[in-house]
Amino acid sequence: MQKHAGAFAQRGVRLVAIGQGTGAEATAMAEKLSLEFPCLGDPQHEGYRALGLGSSSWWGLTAAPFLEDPKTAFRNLRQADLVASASPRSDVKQLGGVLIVGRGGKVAYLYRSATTTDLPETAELLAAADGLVA
Amino acid sequence: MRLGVGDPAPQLRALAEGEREVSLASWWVDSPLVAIFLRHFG
Repeated sequence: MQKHAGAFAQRGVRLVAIGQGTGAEATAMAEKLSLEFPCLGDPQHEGYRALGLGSSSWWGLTAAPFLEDPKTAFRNLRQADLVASASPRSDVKQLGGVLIVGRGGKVAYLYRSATTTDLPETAELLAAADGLVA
Repeated sequence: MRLGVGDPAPQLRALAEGEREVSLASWWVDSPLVAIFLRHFG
């Protein structure tokens, strides 16, 4: 998402990443990755619950990614920061998602990941954002 | 009732540097907001 941050900024859309940890852990990740947008922590997972984001099975977390797409799974494992991922506040089975809120405070787009590697294409998010700023 | 498109956004709060609580509602007043919920910080 980092490489597309400028595209959102050009549209006048704010971008924020939220993770399952503390503010300090979020800040550390943002600094480590030199993110151009804020990163916040949600150690109690309130936002995840409010959005109804799902939870992976152990099968989906461990074996399935390697059977479905071994190359990507090994690359993801190699790139993962296992120490940061092992935060005591982090539920390894928690799935992610994307929420887009318009100026009026209404949900304009909501994506709930179905698997650990399931995320919407950036083009889809930009299209949704375009609909809000047109 | 499961949250869906067109619903009022939930009152989301999160923690910034120094464990300062941030209300995301203040972030979508002036501009649309894209919030990406990560699986983890790794």
